[in-house]
Amino acid sequence: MAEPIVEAKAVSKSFPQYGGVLRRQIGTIQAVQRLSCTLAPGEAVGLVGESGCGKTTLAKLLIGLLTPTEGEVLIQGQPLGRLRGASLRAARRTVQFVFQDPMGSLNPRMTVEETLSEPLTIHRLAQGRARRARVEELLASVQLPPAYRRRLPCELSGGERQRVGIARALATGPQALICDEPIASLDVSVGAQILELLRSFSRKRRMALLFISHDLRAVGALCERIAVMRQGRLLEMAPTQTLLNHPQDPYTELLIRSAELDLDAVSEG
Amino acid sequence: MPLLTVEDLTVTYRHHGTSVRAVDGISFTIGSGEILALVGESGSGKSSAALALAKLLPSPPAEVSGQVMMERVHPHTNIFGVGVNLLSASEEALRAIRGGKIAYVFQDPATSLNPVLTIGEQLREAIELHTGARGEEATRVVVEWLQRVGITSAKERLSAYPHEFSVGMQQRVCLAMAMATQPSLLIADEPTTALDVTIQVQILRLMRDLQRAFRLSVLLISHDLTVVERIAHRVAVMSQGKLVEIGPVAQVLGHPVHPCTKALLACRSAVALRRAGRADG
Amino acid sequence: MMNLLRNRLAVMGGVILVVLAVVAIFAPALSPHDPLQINLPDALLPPSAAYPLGTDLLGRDVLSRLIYGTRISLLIGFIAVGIAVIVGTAVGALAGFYGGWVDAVLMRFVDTLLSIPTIFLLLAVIAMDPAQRLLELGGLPLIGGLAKGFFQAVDPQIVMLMAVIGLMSWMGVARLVRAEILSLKEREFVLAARVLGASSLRVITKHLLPNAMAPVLVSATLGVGGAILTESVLSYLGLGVQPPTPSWGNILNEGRVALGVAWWLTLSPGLCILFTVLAFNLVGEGIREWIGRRSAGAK
Repeated sequence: MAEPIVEAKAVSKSFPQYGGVLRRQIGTIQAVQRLSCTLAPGEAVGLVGESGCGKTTLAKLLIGLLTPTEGEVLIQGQPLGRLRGASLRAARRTVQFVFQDPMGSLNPRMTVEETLSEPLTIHRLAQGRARRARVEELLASVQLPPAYRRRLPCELSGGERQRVGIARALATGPQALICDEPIASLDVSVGAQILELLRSFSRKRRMALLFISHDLRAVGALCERIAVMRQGRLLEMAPTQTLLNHPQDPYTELLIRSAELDLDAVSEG
Repeated sequence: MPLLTVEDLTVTYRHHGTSVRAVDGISFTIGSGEILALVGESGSGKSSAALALAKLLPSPPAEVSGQVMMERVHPHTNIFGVGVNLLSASEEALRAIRGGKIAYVFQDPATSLNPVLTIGEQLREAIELHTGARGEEATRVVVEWLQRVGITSAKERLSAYPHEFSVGMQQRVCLAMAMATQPSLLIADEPTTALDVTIQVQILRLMRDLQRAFRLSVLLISHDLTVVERIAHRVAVMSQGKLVEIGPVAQVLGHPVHPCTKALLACRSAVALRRAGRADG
Repeated sequence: MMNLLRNRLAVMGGVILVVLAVVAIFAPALSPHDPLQINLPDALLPPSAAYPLGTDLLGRDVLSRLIYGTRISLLIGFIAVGIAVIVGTAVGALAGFYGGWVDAVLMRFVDTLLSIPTIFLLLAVIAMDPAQRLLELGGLPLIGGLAKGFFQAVDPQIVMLMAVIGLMSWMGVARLVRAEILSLKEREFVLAARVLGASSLRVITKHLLPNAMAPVLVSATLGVGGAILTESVLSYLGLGVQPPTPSWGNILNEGRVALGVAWWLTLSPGLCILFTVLAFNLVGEGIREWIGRRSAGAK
């Protein structure tokens, strides 16, 4: 089996909790508890959980925005925490991220062209004319017209902004894409289009995809494998159809029935 | 006889010389004890229409025209009285109606609840404003309603502040506040969109049960067709300010006529939960 | 832009500033007399055709002195604020971005400086006469030489005033910048830049600072007015720009002794200071409103 692109090894993350008059540390909040998972090349994995289960914390750990309090995150076998300089930049090219809030994840003062050029500049991937060509290429891959290069985020719709966010993430040609609730803030139809876009990238470019969402329906439509998270722990992981038809954990069953809006099967409390 | 008859409702926003028609001459009715769902893309005008019904849109920049006839229903005998056009009623009459005969529940409970008042105080305020209950009587009604919406140890929690509750609980409190004044019409604008999926189901079931128990009319705004299918009796589809299709849920969702309806349904099946034997298509 | 022009008061302020700029630039052409020309027989004359704003104790034309004083006052104002913004932004950005002990140390330093009454600090620093101290360092080969050379070109006293006033007001800017950076740091587009692999320097200069500068701009505009006032106060105490170089503050100061007989010596510079500071304040408020409208109205 091919080496996983991203791997979490017994990763834990806790945050200190302050309280009292003197704001001393009175305890810790365990956001993620000894969680292990892998993302193999080319596969689409979904991570489902409700708010507060730690999935966004896990996403930030996998991309290096947070450091784990225990365990380690490996990018192509290399421990992310120990990478520096050139090797860190290489890791950044390999695994990229799509944020939830399309408006918040774009610099409001930068045009689409500047936003898309940034990864090219940081990683010295293209200069001058080649860069402009690459920007146009990226816009085309997310089905945005080339004229959009001069627009500011406030001149784009929610779906268009998210497409720019995806294009930016694709600029370095990553092998894996981590998406944190990418369609949560979007309309149903726009969200469906973005899902379709992600699906085509995953299939055509053989790009690994980690799709994090609270919406089991979206995850089920896109991913081959689904992992269920609850209170910082990985509860269950199985291929999509197996999980949907034969859930092992009662919480998974609850999530499935809730996603179907089965009003009578769900018990109170 | 319908509870609410909306005729040719139009909402225009004027700002610095430009004007946008958010709602373009829509007409529909809501019967007594019926749940009408209003669906459409964002920007289709559904929220503007809902707020316009009780003249809740700030008057510049919004201009509302049309007729919104509401029949007066006697709370105990369900006898219809003489209708009143909400759009031409006096501000005083409207204040009695808003929160009283017409109650609203919005998407984000955190912004609907006053963070500096306890929930007991807020509920009591609503009850005292719209019903005859006062003091002890009002408190009793408050506790009763909190229990009905599923908040345990209601009496002890009267002095709790909104931020001490989870989002799901806050939405239950908002429902209690809406229902406590015994409204004839409940307008719910995306009431479950901001909630976790397991809580969503609980709130929807609560709404359905309350609606059945009190023969409430509900105008439910949602972008989620599955919600509509589970709860609503009739559905109206809006697109760019116009009402493009309206009818019983089974008919509209089963045999859509308008391309917008078909598009919404297509998105739904694209994201459907395909389970063997329980396909949600 | 249209919204900015809509605010009539801000426009009025702007007009006044443009007039001041023109006056400062074209001072030689606009002054009827030589501001340094002493003319004792014509001392303390009231406003007339020959001397539109009268003369001072040494017979110098007040109007001409005011016109040349515009240069000094505006120069001090802008450069002082410039220094304050540069130093304050650097300190605030570092404190806000790195946090931890860097933030703690820098902010305690800022707090300490802020807790000392400005005027006393200013007086103490000026009394120490730093320009002279620097010149005396002529003993040290490099610093002394540089200082001497620099001060031969520019009046050391004025440079020192600008530096001192600027260095007394950077703290407020630092706090502002730090606050903005703290709130911007966790915004998703900043996280996105870090995930893309941007270096800390790039994140600060390309993402954080451009978005943080709006309140600094407002503060700077208001700060110029403040700097001009401070110079006037210092001159009034005899520590500002030294005569014969005219500044609004020292004209006021000179007028003090003759207040009873020569009201024009006090009124004219006083009104100049008043309108200038008012103009800066109005423009600053206008900019603040414009920024607020722009971010609130963003689609």
